[in-house]
Amino acid sequence: MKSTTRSAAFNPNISDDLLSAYLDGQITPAERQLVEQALRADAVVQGRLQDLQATVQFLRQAPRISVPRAFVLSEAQVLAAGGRVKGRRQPGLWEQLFPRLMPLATATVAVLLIVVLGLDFGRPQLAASPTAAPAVAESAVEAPVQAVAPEATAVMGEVAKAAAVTEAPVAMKEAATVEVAAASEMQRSVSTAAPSPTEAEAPAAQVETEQSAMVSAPSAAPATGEALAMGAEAPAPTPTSAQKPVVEGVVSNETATPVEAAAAEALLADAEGVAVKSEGESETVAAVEPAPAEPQPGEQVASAPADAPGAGPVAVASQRRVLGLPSLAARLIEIGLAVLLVVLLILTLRQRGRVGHSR
Amino acid sequence: MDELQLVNAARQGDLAAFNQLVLRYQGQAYNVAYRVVGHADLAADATQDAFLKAYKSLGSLRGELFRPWLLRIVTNSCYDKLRAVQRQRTSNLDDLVEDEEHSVQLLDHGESPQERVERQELGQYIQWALSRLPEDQRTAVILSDIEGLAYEEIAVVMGTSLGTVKSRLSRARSKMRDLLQRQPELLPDRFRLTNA
Repeated sequence: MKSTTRSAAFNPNISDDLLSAYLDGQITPAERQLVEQALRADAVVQGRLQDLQATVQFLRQAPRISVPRAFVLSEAQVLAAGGRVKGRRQPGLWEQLFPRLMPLATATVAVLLIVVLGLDFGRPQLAASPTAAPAVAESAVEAPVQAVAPEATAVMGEVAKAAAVTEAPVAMKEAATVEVAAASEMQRSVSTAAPSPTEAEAPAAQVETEQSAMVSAPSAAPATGEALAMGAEAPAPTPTSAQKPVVEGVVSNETATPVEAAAAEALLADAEGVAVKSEGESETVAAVEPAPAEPQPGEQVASAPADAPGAGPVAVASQRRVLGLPSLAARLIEIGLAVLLVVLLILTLRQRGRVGHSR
Repeated sequence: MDELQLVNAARQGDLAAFNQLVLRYQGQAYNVAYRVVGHADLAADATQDAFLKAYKSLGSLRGELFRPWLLRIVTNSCYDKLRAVQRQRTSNLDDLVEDEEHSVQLLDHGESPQERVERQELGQYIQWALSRLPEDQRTAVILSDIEGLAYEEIAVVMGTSLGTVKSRLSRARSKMRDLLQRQPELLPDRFRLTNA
């Protein structure tokens, strides 16, 4: 049913707002005069006013509702809500912030624990790639080979022959790799002796040791082709860092000391894949060839101490030593964070239980 | 102690003094809350929260009367409850209107059971009509026509000007009139409108 305000007899000068305010006595004297004039002259306006009065009367008859309980406040309620009560110690700043900081601290510690665990589980991937050093050594070996001294020209000729030979079958290349690996073993032993170049006697002794090591390695073949052929069956010692002293031996030295120094430098530079590339392999093999023979004055072969086989794993062992320490620290951090997380969770739950009881 | 002394004592942390004010105004506070939200439990929660907030913010009461200041906190608390209910995807206020079984208890006027039943039905009908109004108009008509507050007090409670109070009240009354005209048979004779 339409409101009477929309009837044809609606007096636009007397709105419902004006009539409502008139009912409550909330109009100006001028407005009052206008309304009363309209009420006298217009029956519709009278009807509208009566409807409004009835509506207001109707609402005023709404029954009062009894309160379900007393809403008085307890001290626990007030204190839990952060209010203060006379005679009670006011909570300190920490006590006020504690309920708000606890959940945040708990979440932060949980996130940190997850991050540390994630980093720790990703760590084994770093230690699982021992071929990196040998590959670096191989590539480093290749560089000094390129810069061989004139005295090693003969050796280079042998290298060329070996290169031609190694181009053929893949098996031969693999054999060369083994050859180089064996040589790398000896180079590594030289690297350990490199820091003390003043020990002139060492090179000679080291050369002898190397010779014995070379002999013991079945891969040390007298001829290039035979060496390559045999290399497939030879045990592959290890890391190509052993190649370094051999290559350095190609570089002629007039004194033992410079040789050792050069060996040390070549070790650092010989990190490229000589064992992989046929040329490098053959060159190394060629360089290895003269090694069993007595060392010439102009050339010295880097020494390989009796424990040459142990030189290969040295790099890996050093890597593991480096990785072992942070792993321990990570474990300690994880344990600490886990304990802290448990403590924070307990405190947070207790705090929430206390608030729930007070309500 | 008079109201001003109780307020001053409560402001100093005297919880007992504040609870005296609570006992004085809890009836009106709860009735306003119930008429605004239309649900007994929701109204009780809103009223309790309002008194707690009032105690904590007594420092903001400067020179104004305690009752409209308190009712402002009550209405704001009711609006918060209504928002929370709406966020939980509870349907509109209609669903909050309680059925007869869970209806609120009316104050005992020593009337006959028949009269009591009539009064209860009247209350339910009023609550149904109020639920059809927008929040601001509903609050205005509750404070004015049910609780009997003056325009100036209503302006303080609602935080608006007198002109806005007049406008909201007028529109609320017009809508209530239209609702009553739709179903005149539900009204007692004395409330039947002339132009129905």
